[in-house]
Amino acid sequence: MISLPVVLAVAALLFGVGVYGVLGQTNTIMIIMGVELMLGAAMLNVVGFLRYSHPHATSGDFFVLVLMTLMALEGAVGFALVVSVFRSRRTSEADDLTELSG
Amino acid sequence: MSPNGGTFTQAQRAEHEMLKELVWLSPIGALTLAAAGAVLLAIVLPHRRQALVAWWVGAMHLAAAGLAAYVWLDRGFRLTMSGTIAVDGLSLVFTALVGVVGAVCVALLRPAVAGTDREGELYAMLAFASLAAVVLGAAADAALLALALAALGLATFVMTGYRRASPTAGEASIKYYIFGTVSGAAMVYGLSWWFGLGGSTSFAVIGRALPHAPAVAVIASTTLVLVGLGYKAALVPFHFWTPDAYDGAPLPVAAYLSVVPKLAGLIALARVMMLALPHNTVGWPTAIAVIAAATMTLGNLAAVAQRNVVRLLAYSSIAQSGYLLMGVAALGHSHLGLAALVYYALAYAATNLAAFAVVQAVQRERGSADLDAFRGLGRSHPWWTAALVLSFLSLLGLPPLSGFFGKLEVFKAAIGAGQAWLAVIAILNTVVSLYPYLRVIAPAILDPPDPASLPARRSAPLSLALVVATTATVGFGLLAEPLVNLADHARMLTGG
Repeated sequence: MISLPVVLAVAALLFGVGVYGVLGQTNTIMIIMGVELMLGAAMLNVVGFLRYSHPHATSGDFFVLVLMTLMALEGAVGFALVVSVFRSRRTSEADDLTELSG
Repeated sequence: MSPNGGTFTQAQRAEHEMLKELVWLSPIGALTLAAAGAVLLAIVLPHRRQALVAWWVGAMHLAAAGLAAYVWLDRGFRLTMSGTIAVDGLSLVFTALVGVVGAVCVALLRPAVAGTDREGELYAMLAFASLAAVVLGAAADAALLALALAALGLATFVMTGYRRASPTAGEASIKYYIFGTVSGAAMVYGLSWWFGLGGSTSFAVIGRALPHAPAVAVIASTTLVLVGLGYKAALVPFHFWTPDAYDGAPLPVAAYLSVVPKLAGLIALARVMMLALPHNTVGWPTAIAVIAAATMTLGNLAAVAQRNVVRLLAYSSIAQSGYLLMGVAALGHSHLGLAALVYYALAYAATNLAAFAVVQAVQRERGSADLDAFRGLGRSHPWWTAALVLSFLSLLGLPPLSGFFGKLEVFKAAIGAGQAWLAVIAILNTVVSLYPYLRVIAPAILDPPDPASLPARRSAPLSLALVVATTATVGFGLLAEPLVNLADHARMLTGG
């Protein structure tokens, strides 16, 4: 039987994997995927709370829809930026972006 | 009468109520129209007519500012759209501020990007950013906060990477993007916990539940929410993107970034903390005060080492975030906090725009914004130098300029809130910040003019923006008392 703590634990694990992806990966594409996992964890959290603790909180449904939209938009803009930089620099490695510092 | 008759009239009444609320949302409507219209105009108009997009966006920004004043004077404050958008003194002042700042930034942008191949779209992105910032400043609901924060981020990432041919622009926008989306995702995860603890996305409802929730869960989720808003406001330790983004972006975009998203983040922070964590739950004012101290100290110390004036202004804007944050830290204990925050926000916006406008004028003529480019400016360009001196001394906080009264108000608020130690740190910081600011001003006045000085390159919109911003820098200082009284009326709606 799945219960709220299980859902929250899975979401926390997902969030942890996302954070690891953001901090541990050097490729911008992989970092974007990490961010998507973090957002997925938030959505799973809200859905879990909606199902088990607050079944009548309709604003939660709306929240999940908003987060889904955010995920798509952030992905789209992120990949566009990576393509734009790749065209001029021939790299998608975040560690190679060292022109600006100080 | 049908059995559904009662609910039908109820639905009709609800619809009527929502239509009436559109008056309160008219400033947001004007900015929506500005953005949508700009996209259409940018597509339809031929390349040489793209200046019309700038006129449209600038005029609609001013219209939004005017409508904000009208709503305040004629309609008063109200929670609209089922309590998700707070149209109150705080959000209306911020809307008017964004309207004027947006118009000034369009005037600064035009000479910088005229004739480039995506000019119209840049004005459209600026309008979208202003729209998102205004919604962020008024959001009383977690879903709307997440939406506005992400929309503001996406618009500003694209604006930062505008000069596609430049190698630094792409790097700046990618760095800005990574920091922005990661901190935004962390905030959203924190908000999902708030939803679970409160049973609603409304901050007012969350605020009734959080004081009784387990402290560990509240502290952890609040920290995550702070990450997202702290990044927007460039607070330590989420400030790393700031100098790179300002350096890589076109200068007028950097001027915009240093004012609008930063103040939107701070105002959203003030609103979220007051609504969701009433009665100083888990001691957030102390945490905010510590962040404020760290932010101003790090900003000022890092500014000392900079040789590029754009990066110097970036670190200076981080330091200014710290002073502004003192107003937020005082909110929980003293009514002075909000008035101080609002007045300082006005003073900071005027002062920083004036400073960026001067740097843009100098960079336009000399091709560089290094310290050396400012040597001997006093002889060749007395008016620019006057604006430079006034704006930098206002950033430093010298009377009778607006920056001085802004600092005075936040210091008073901090002492009133029992955070005298923070006021002491802020005063020490002001002393440290003498060096970076004077390092730009002194050679400009004292050094002989550069023998290879080029003839002045004039630009009417740039000069106009410079005059407006500098006048406001001085004027807000001379009108400090009535403005602080006005700011004291800029209350926040806490019901809902």
